[in-house]
Parts: sequence; C-alpha cells; structure tokens
Amino acid sequence: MAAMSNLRHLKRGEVEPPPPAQDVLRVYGMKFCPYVQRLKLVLTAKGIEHETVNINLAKKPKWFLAKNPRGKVPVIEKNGEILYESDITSEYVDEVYPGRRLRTLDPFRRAKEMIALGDFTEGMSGIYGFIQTSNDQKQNTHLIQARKGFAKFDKIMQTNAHPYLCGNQPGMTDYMIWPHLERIGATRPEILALYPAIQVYFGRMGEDDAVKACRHSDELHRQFIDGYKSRNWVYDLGTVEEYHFVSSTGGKLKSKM
Amino acid sequence: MAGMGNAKHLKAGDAEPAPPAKDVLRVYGMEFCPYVERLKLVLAAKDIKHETVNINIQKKPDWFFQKNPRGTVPVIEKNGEILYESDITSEYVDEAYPGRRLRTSDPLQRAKEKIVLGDFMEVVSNYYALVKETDEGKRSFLTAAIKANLGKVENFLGNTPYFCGQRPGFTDYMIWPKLERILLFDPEFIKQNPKIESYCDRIGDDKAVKACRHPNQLLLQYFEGFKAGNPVYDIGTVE
Repeated sequence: MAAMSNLRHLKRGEVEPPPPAQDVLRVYGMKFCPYVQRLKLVLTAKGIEHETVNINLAKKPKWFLAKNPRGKVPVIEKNGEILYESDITSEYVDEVYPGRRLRTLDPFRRAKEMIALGDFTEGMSGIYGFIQTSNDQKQNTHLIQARKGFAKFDKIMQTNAHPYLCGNQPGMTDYMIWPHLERIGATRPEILALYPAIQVYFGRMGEDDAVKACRHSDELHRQFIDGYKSRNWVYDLGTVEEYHFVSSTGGKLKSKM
Repeated sequence: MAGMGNAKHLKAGDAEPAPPAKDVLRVYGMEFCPYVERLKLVLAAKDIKHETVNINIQKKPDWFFQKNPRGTVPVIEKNGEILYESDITSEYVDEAYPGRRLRTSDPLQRAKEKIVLGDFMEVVSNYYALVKETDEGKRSFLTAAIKANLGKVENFLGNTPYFCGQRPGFTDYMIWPKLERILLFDPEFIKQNPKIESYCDRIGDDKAVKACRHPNQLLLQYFEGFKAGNPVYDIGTVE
C-alpha cells in the first residue's frame, strides 16, 4: 500500500538524493521489508509526515552504507541526524512526535510484552527460514522451531485479557509483530490456522487503520517472496513511482545518472 | 564478589527453594554470567535489596524451566511474578524502583546509545566465535570485524567519560560485563583503543562495578573451564 511507498528502489551507481529539507523526516526503506513496515506502522498510527527513499538491498548504493554501516533498513534522517534499527527508530519517533503514545507505560506490562515479542520472534525466525528455503529437510527444521515459538505466543494470546497485546488499542509491540504475521497470513495461512488465539488476533489487527494503510496484497507478497527463493530479488513490484528531488539550489535533480 | 552471589549453584535433582517472602525481590543467577552481572550492576547502582539463588546452567533443575521456559539467567521473581532476559529485567528494576534513573532521558541520545550497544554486541559475538575458531581465514575475518566495531565504540566515547555521559548509566552497565571479560582475556584488543582503555580504568572505580567484580584470577579460572566445555560454577567462596 502507499504507506510503504511505491518509490523506485535506488541502487549502486545511482546518485545520492539531496538531504531532506530542514525539519523533514526521511525514511530510507524497502517496499517489502517487514522491519521498515514496523516503523511505517508507527508513523502512520501517529500521523507523522515523512518522505521516503527506497533502497535496492541487493545492490546497495555506497552512499547508503555511509549513512548506516550495517547496510540495513529502516534508517531515519532528519536535520543531519541519523538513526537505524526498526525498534530503535520506532521507539524514537513514538517519543519525540506528538499523538497517541504507543509504548506501554506500565513497566511490568511492558516487560511482559517484550517477553511475548521474544517468543514470537523465535517462531518468526523459523518461519522466514521455512518460507525462504526450498530444501525439504531444512524446511522441516525451520517449521519445528516456528511451531515452538508460535505455541508460546498463542498461549500468551489465549490468556491475554485485552484484544491487543498492548491493551485496548494496538500499541508498539503489536506493530512490531504485525508485519511478520501479515507475511505468514499471505504465504502460509494454514500455519496460522493451527493457533486459534493468534488467528483471532490476526483478524482483529487487520481492522486497524495503520495496518490497512501499510498492507500489501497477499499476491504481491508471494510475488516478492518468490524472488527471494530464487535469489533474484525484485523490489520494484506493483506500482512504481519516480522521485522528484529538488536540489538545495531550487532546481530539479534527475534521480538517475 | 558478593554482589554476584556466593550461593551454591543448584542443579537437576536439587530441591526447589521456597518462594521469596512477600515483597522480596529474588534474582536467579549464575555467579560468572555476564548477563546476570548486567542486572546485578543495576541493582547495586540503585541499592536495590534482593536475594539470590544460583543455578548450575549446565545441569538445570526442572523447576527452573517452570519459571523461565527458555532456561536462561537472569530471572527475577517477586510476589509470584516472573520476568527474564537481562535487558528486560534491568530496564524493569530501573523503572520500578526508586533512586537514580539509569536510563538516559533524552530520546535521541538514548537511541544513539542503543546503536553503540549493538555495535559492541557484534564485537562480543565475533569475539566468542573467535575463541572457538581454528581456521586461519575465518579468524582473520573475525578479528577484522572485531577491530572495526571496537573502532565505532571508540568513536562514540569521544570526549565523554561514560557511554551515558557524565556518570555511568544503563548502557554502561549493559556493556561493562562483556567488556571486562575481553579486557581480561584479550587485552590487546582494548589497548588498540585508547578511549576504551581509559574508560575501563575509570569505570573500575564505580561503586556498582566494584561490588560485582570478581578477582581476575577467579574469572580466568572460570573461563578456562568454560572454554574446555567444562565450566565449574562453585569456585571461590561458596555459601
């Protein structure tokens, strides 16, 4: 969806975009990255205006590595300051921008959410391994790990007193989890169906406005992941838009050399 | 040191201790675990009273998995509530207990500290891989990665005395236990970074660091056992 940005993914050899204008928040992302989506969900839920530059992660521009030596997205840039990592950037924008605070205030409840997130993440590393490999034996190992993690998470959701992990509305931890659930739902819904409490949560989160704004169709997800499996990553899928950078001198810059 | 708890490490077959008394904070730990030490540093810095039960992590009691299905230390227990993971428990006690707030209040500065903590944890993961690696090519690669990431840590320190600014704070206590070990086991890596080297001297004077610090000889003794795949936990004073 448009909130993930349809802008073309810039690759090595392409000229570096001019820096964002004063006080403008820029997100460096990738249209299909679940970690970028975490940040995008937070930005959307809080109505935080920002611009996006998408990066071709298979052929990263050198100028991107200069911003984040780890070479990963998301990265945020504003007034010359740079931060990266999905959890760090999400927590930062939640705190410095106005609007509903997504981070749970009660320290004990927040600690429990972090533990639940860890259990869910254990399941996810299995699932991404499972989705991305064609090797049957490896698939099975990944599936076993995924099921362990999801079983723990399902148990937590069964006893959760509230509709969302964070309470009566989706909060930070819900948004950290959603992108991964969206992908399992798109590619392996039968696995989700094994966990009734997760399945209910999945349906409920699907009604959230921020989730809807950032969601890709199941078909588009599958198309992207197919590229992953064959190691032939194609990022510019679906609608592709071009950049219209304005240089600091006011003239329009071409976005390609 | 006494801050890490000298109690004998309970193992499979040992009876489960009675739960902590009402309102008493209990830490399940292991005397030489750097992740337990993170929490212990925070507790010491904030003067938070607590009791300790040590766990033999090679032969864990079944009852311990009932508390933390992941089977890792540290675990905290109070009035029937349980939390685990070093960062989660440390952040929790920092916020739930009175005294100096160790977590940096400025959001941008805190975010930058988390990034450098990540850079340092890359050093740790590469270092522990290096310790076990025999292939020269891989050793070379790991060593270069360690040096590159230590360089980032060195740059971050810049002119401030501590990672958290003018006083040791949360990030300092998350970093110190593993930094202490690299300093002891492979001082050459530290000597190449003068700011990190002087940081190590400086933080050695911190009250919490002193309270949780083992004599070098004891830590070395533990590490030898650990490397050989045969860690012995009940060394030094045992209660």
